[in-house]
Amino acid sequence: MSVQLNQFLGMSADVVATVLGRAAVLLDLRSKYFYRVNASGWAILQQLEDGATLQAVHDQCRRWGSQDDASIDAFIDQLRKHDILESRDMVGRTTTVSFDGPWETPEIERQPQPLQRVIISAFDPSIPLAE
Amino acid sequence: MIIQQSVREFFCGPLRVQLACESQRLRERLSVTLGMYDVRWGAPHRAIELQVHETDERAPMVNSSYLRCSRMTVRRIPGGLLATSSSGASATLVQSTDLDRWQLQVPSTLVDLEELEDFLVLVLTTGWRGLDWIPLHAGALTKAGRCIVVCAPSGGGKSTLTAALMRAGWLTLGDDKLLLRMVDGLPRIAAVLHSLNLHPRTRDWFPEVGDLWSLPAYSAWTEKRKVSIRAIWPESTARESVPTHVVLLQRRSDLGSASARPLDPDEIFHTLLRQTVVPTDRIEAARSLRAVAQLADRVQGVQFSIGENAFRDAACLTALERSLT
Repeated sequence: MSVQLNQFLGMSADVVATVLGRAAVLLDLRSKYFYRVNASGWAILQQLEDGATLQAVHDQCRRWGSQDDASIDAFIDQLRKHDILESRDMVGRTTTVSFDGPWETPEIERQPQPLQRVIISAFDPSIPLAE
Repeated sequence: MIIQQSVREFFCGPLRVQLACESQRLRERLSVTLGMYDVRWGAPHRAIELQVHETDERAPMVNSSYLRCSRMTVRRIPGGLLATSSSGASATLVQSTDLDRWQLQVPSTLVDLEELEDFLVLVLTTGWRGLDWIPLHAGALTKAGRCIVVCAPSGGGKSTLTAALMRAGWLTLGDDKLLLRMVDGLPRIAAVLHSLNLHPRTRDWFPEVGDLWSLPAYSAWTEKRKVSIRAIWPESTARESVPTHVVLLQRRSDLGSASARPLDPDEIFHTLLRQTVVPTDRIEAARSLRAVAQLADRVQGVQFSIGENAFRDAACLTALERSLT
């Protein structure tokens, strides 16, 4: 595992998120890729929106019912691989996140096709015909 | 030479656009486009000032940090936006709480005025976003308590399906430009223009559209013609509705008729997101994403696949209408 337990992590400023059912969707504004995270993954991400240590994430996930730190670490590694998380020097503010389980293995899935980088117009996100 | 600055006023959905332009050729072209937004909304309207000048200078293209279109790039600047086009035209927005003030500079050498429409679309969509209306590149129709949002890329058949459904008694809010907003916890979509972009060949299926080849083309990019809905199908328009279904339209050359299948929640969200322009701006992107997710959360979805010539038989719509439970 590449992240130390006392290392501060936070969600990248280039990523925006919204709730979709019990899960959430993330959009990376740089790459235009979007991602789906399940309910447990979304709970972790909300902790990290303003920054948290990996240890704090482990502790909170155990309170929510997680019995598997390795699955948390694997999820964090996926987030870092996709540049959704970045290292921070410190935590911005403490975020209280509620989660009404059941807890499941946190998962993230990248959608195969990103949104178009070049579009027809400010109203039409289709691919320009000439391209 | 005496320059007569002419000011004209247009209502484009919830916006009141004042166009000030001393150049007759630019004024006429911009007026035609702004005049297409023919669905009159009640007050209040957000004020938009659009001052247009011809200039001997060409603006250099800026890097796009906000939006990148095929002929125009847009970046955030303090207090507003800066847009530039490959032909050297530029537009600068200074935004305040109750007013968008745009300055559009157009090189006097510019012959193809079509790209001015890109700037106008930016002016309008920015104004709409300022009022929390999210532009949705989709068609919409309503009938008997159902309201479908028809999604497909440009050239994907939204207008033809819209026309076919109107002939079957549906009312339309438009074929490719809608506004979306959450009102009292419910997604509402609203119309801004009641015209269709129809290919002249549409007459093969729907004779009542007449000879569309005789109408002027509005773009060098397409053979489609802009057609007033009321002129062909009077009483077939609607202004606002609460969507119940999303229809992902797919044209298929291997199909003789049509078929429909349900979409799962993820497919509904993806379908809607791909009809939405998401600026590279954290606040506006989050707002667009949230609106799309809230809409996706409250509707059912159908993928409607239709053969190239299926519209010859009005029964091709049966599969779609049956699937809208």
